[in-house]
Amino acid sequence: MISLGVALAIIGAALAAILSGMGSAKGVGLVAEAASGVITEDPSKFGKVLILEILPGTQGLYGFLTAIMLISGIGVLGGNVLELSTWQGLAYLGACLPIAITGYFSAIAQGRAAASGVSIVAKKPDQNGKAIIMAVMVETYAVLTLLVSLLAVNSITSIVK
Amino acid sequence: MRETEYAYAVARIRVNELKLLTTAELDQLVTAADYSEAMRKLADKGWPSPDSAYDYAKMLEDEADEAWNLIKEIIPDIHELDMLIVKNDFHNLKAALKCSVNDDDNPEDFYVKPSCIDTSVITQAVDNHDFSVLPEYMQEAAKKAYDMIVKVNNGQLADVVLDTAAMETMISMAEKTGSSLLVKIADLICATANIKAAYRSAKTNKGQDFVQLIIADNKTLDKQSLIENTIQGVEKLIAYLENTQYAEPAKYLKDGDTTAFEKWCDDELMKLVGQAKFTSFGVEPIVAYYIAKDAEIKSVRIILSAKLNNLSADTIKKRVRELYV
Repeated sequence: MISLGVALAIIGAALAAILSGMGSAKGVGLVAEAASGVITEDPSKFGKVLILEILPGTQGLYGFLTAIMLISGIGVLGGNVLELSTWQGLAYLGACLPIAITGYFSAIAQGRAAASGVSIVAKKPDQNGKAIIMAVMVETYAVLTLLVSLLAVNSITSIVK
Repeated sequence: MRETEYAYAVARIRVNELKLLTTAELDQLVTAADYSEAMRKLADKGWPSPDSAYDYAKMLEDEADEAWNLIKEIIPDIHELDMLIVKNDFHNLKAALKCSVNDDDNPEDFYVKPSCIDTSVITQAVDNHDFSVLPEYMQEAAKKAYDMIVKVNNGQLADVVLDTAAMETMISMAEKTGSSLLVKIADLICATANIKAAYRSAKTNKGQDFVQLIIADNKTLDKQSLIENTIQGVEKLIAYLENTQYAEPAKYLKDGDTTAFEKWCDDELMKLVGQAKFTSFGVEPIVAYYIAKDAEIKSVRIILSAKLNNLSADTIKKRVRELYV
């Protein structure tokens, strides 16, 4: 029988994976649209726009990583599930929220920045480094919230164990 | 429509902007030794060569068609750009009405493209005198223009009614897009058209009834003040314009230099359109590209025609318009 605590922890893991994944899908999709526009006219720019397209995809990975750390920490992956109180489950759920929410919004924001960068590549391909730097700046906030979520999940796991 | 839905279209437009003539390239055309050299320079930039040595009109027409076809191909809903071409529908209506009165069965010869509605709808509406088949924004103006041509036998008044309706429709279409830049563009086009019409009316001492018909509603020029000052003559009109944001073009009209005034209107529009260079999403960069291409074609037409007439480079320079890139 799975306790309410475990269910809450799994909901947290699911939110981290789903929301940051949704954000990344939107962000990558937006850049892909812009990149396709450039490639239609000039296929030689594929390599340059591909880097920009990849950037908003990292938030999805961060959410995935947080979810794996959590479900592995509470033993869902190994089949040896820990007994969690409701409060412990809520703590896990709270720990997942930073990457879930910031991952979602930062991936979309990064997608917009990278899609704008595609215009730089279209008009001044030699300036693509600047386009990448501009888009990468958004990543900072996703990385910070990934750290918060990972540290919190690890700490809760060590307390629970 | 979500502005990010234009991501693909904007990216393609950005690449195509590279193909627009730059100021330096336009200068080279201006200083070309003769017409043939100017045509060679255009061909080097990727423009098609015309069939016969002097058939540049067809070449310019093809360039305009190509720009519109590109936009049609990339934009999710072409009706978002109706504000740019609605004036062509009103022109086509004018052509159809005049052909109808003159028993000319081929109004198609006078139709211009692109247009928001199929030209056959206009032909059908005029032939059957049933204007309900036209879009709502055209119906009233079409009825008025028809009455003026058929009942009053005054083609000029019919033209005026349709021109004014075209301007007001363009502004209302721009407002529907929700883009402040497009509203400003439509307003500038309308205001400069109003000034031109008011100046011509003041010069020819037109009365209030006529002037009221030629001035379209817009935000940056008060319609009533413009009408009142126009009927009092050129001096009053210019004095009024000098106290508005159109003081600079008023100066050209004061000197009677309508060429400089026309150039100011086009350059000012290009400055406004230039704001779209810094916009990554939305319909604005696409509208800006179409207006920029139009301005480029206008400048090339001025240069080629001047070269054919052996005008000096200095004279041509005064007439060519500012470019987008």
